[in-house]
Amino acid sequence: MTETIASLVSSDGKAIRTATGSSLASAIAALNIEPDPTLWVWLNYSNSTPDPGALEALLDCASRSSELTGIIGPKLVSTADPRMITQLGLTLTPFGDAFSPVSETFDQGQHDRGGDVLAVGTAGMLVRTTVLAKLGGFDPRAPELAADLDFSIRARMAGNRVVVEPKARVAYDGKAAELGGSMKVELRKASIHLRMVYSPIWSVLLYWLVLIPLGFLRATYRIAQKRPDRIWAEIYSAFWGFFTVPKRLSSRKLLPPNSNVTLAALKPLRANWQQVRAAARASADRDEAQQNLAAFARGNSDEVPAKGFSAALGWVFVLLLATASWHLFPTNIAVTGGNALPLSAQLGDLFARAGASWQPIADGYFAPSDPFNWVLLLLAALTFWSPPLAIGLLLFMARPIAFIGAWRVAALFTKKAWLRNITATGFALWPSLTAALGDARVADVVSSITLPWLVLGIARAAGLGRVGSARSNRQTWSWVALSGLLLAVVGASAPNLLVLVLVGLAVVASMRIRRLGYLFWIPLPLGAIFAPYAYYLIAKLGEPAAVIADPSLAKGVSHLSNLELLVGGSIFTATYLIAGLAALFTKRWGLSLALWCFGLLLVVAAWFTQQLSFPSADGADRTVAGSPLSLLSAAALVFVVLVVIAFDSVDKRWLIRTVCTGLTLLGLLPLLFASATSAPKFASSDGRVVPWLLVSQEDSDAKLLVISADGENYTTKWLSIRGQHLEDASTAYRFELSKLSKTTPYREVAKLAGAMVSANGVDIANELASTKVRYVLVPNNKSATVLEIGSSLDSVPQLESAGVTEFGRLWRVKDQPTLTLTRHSVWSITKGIQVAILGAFVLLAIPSRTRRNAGSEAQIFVDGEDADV
Amino acid sequence: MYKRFLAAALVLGAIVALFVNPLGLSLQIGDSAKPISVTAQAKDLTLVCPGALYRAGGSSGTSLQVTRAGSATLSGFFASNPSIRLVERRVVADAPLVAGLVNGPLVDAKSITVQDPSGSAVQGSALLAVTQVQKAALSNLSGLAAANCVRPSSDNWLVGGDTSPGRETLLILSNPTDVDSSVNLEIIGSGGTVSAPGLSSISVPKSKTTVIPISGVAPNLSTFAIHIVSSGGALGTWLQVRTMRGLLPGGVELVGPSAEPAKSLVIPGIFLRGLADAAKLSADNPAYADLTPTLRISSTATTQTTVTAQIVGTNAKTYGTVIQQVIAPNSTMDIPITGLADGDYVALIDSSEPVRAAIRFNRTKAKKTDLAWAPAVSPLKNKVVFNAPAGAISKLAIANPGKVGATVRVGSQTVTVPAASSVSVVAPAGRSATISSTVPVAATEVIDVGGLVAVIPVLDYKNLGGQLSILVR
Repeated sequence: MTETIASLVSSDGKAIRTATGSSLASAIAALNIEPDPTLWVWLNYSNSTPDPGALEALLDCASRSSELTGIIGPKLVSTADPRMITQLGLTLTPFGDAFSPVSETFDQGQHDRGGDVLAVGTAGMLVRTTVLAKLGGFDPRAPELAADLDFSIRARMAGNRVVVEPKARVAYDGKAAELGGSMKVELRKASIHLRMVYSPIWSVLLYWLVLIPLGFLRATYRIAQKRPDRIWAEIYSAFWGFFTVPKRLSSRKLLPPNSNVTLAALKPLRANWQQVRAAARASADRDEAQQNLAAFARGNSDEVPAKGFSAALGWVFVLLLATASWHLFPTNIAVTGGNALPLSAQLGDLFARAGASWQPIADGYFAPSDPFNWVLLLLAALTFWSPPLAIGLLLFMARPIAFIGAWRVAALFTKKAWLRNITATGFALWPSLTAALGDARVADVVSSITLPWLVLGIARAAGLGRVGSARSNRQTWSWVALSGLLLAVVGASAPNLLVLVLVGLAVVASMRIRRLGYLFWIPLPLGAIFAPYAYYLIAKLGEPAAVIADPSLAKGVSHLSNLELLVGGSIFTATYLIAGLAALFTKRWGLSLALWCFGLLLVVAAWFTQQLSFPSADGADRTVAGSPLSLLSAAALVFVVLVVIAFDSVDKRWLIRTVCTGLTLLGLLPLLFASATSAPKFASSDGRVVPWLLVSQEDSDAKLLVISADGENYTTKWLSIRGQHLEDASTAYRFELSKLSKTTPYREVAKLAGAMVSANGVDIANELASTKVRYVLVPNNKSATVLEIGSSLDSVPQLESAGVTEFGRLWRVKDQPTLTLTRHSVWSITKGIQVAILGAFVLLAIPSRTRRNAGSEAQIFVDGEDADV
Repeated sequence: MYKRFLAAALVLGAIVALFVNPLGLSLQIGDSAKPISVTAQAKDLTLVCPGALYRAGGSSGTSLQVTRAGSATLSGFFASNPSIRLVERRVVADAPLVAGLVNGPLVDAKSITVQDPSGSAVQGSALLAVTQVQKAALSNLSGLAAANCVRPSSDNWLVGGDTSPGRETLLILSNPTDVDSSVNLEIIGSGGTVSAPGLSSISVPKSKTTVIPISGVAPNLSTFAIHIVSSGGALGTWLQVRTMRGLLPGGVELVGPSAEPAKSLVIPGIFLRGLADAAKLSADNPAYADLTPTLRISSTATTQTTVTAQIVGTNAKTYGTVIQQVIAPNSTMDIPITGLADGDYVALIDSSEPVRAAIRFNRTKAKKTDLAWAPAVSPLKNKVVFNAPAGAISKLAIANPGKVGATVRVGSQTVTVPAASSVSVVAPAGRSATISSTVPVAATEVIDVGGLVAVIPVLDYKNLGGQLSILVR
């Protein structure tokens, strides 16, 4: 507990008496002052150390200035380093926040001219006793950090001067030392207090009304500023200000009556924006310098910088990979076939399907939708003018994105440009990714190409790797937020990969335990989008293992043999595996062994995933095996890193040539050929999933029955009239269907379909009314049964043919009342929380400061890879 | 250093272990939805018979009308029981519904329906099976023609026919329903789809039979298959194929709807007789060239199709031949089958894409010829009934396209059909018989009246219904 020490001193420097107290008010009261213009009160704290000549200098200043000078402050310096100025007067920003114009600055005599300031801090403050008496002392209702400002401003308003005397030095670290964590809250409280006390009464009322929303808004801004530590301060202080408004208003009574000095009149003494910005920049630079020093201390800096992406000809490989993906170029807005359906053309629809709210599946379904729908929403938001286009572009750009990501991951381990290029290209051409692309397995593609970026993000946030450290706390927060979002993306796209990724994250956290404060936040967005879904599957459906089911449509992949699992599906990657073995003979063999174990663990997980069968979402097959592709891509990344480690220390020219030629001829070129020649199993389409006739009637609760047959087994899809888009696939529904299909509505649909395909003239009016079926579509697969169903439906009296469409033959149900669209809320509490967390992380992830270190600026370390970060 | 070798050995060992890992788990996570079983009463089973043969040009050969010539004989089977009723109606305007007959003479096309208000009867040819046979001996129409009465359908393929000079193909479209029908034709010739006016929007009014000479839309086309798509009422469709060589009639046949296209097809009932006579005739006169047995393959695939046909004899003397051909996308091709001796054969066809197939062969006795089209037949999954007409020699060719031998019961006889082979069984005339087999077999009935030949496949008809399993998603 710091004590306040108040001394009554005379103008000639004699200390008359000294009193201590736990607060300013109590210390001053204990001093028992008689107001006298020649007597002064000198305030100090038990943890402030005035220089021997400090008081003399202050009194000297007092003697040189007029009677009006009421308060004189010293130059506050750091206790640890007296050359560092911590405070030299205080003022307010244009927004009314407390602001110290000089802080954390080397004292080079540049601030040695004292003069008028708006306010001074209480430490070392010399106050004329008459002023103290006139103002009624310090305001006990003011928050701790507002008391000095408030007192000084009142002195100003009473017509007194407030000055600083730089010759008087007091070593004091500020209130931060004693306030600790609550410092941020106190700062904000001080601002609110000052605003409420010094603004005109009408604006105080307005301010009070908007205080709480403003608190949330400021909290959001703090996130965008990469200051998540300030969120609590903003929100707590807003509530504090709102509920303690009577105290603030009573503080206004202390204002000097009949004063003609307003806060506006003191504007010249307040800080302008330029000063505020300069201070913020200086603070960021200090932070960066500290990070650099820390990195240097860890030995992470290079004397010779590695080549950047452009200098290493990375773009050539990007172009090469884009060319190899020519098959995948979107020729129309949507992707249909393979494992994809078009996305809805409205971004709003995609938002409605994300999270946990009502879903238009069958006759309406309420359960958390796939977390993957958030990924789809994110993708679609990137091409907001035409959401379905996102999938086509993603498939086309997947290889270049995977390349750049893997390139950066390789850069964590090596400076060699050729090694980065050759390994990253290998990763981008890995057969598991090619298989996922060819089948338009959006989820597998997303997880495969996101994984390197996630690894990079975590490495940066944890300060791992060759160039792994972020350059400032702000950047670290950006990387943390980015890693959080990427982890959510990977987890939502490949739940079967999630466990091992979390294990990896835990290993990283244990290696960088000091970074735990940052790393701790990374799984938050994943938890936000995954927890409700997992809870539903585990608690409501009683299927704990269902959480690792592939999301979305999850059609089957061809079963891979043990050898294919090891090499990711094509034997040519064996070159990389063999090269990766060489890593075990390098200096970093321990790391290599760990990586090998992790890589093989991923392959084992891929094998295990293949053995699992889940309920299928589509077609006549009732079960579908898990997809190992994401796990294989993850293993590919590990193997590629091993190749990097293996050849990082190779310096002999002939050996480099041999390795380059070997990897290119035996690995890269065959893989490139395979990628460029594998035809995709999907097609580009205009994004419709139902005939135009139905598209024009989307605003209705009407249902569409899609009847298809495989031999004697019929499959009936009970869909909303807008058809099934990619975001309508629901894993929870997939697992719950076996229960749902025993319920009456489903039995009625089955009965309806049975009556229709047999065209037996049974009355189906009741079933039509209750199931809301208004259209029947029979997809044309040219099989005999389909034609048979067609002729049956032709003879159902309640149906009339609506023509042959590209989706099959369509029938309309006659003489049924029109159904209007029931609007369902797209929100739920869960979804609100999810949106808040994701929004906060997105704000946090967007880099806020783009200012680059100019070349002329003095830098301790030159990081040659600035341009890539 | 030894640590590094140890590490490498460990990793290699793990890789090898992964590679040889023989384990196979099969873990089911979550219940998959079970199809809902729905009992749906099927629509009443209706068969429609083509009626007597048509004679284009009348007796003089110059008339513009096509008229019925003579009458066909109906022979059939109906598994009668008290809860069901057999009714029939001639396919002519305003014909009354009368009690059904499955035997007797037949001139106009007629439909035969099993009325089953309770839905108790199991539909199939074991409930109702009817065939018609007609022997014609007119100046320009002679030969034996036989056909199944078929279940009306809105999508049919007919594989057979020829419109080169002296060959006539009539398309018979019979609408037994109460709804008018509009028909679109697609003719797949040797060069792809034939485009000609008059192929679309052909009207087949309710209770009416429309006859279309294919020469009118695709003249001089020796090879084709016809796709008939009707909207509105479902139709019975047949081709009546007739050969004239100069003034000499060379045979007549009715071709019924083809089986579903498949990658593996079986054509039983290729009973070749008089090949020596035929060889003599065709050596003397090129008009007899088409006496050579010919395989017709029709493909609607978008890629080239490689077809391999094994023509397998029923005994050691007739060991058959093998043909391989590449069929252009969306085309029909005729492949002559040469080098065969007289005997009973079955064609087993394997194809890279689903195709339809039929074989044309002739029965030659001195200068008298009669043609027959043997279609590909789907293997029968259920017990079926076929009819052997009275006054004819009927033989049943049973082919087993599968990989295991079949024990087949035909009426009271039991025969064993080894895998990938065929057996011929003589059926007692004027009787109906049941075929049941341990594995699916394909069967065709070959009818012989006085050296004339006709072929009818043994089929099973049923409308969708009964116990349906429906998966609702």
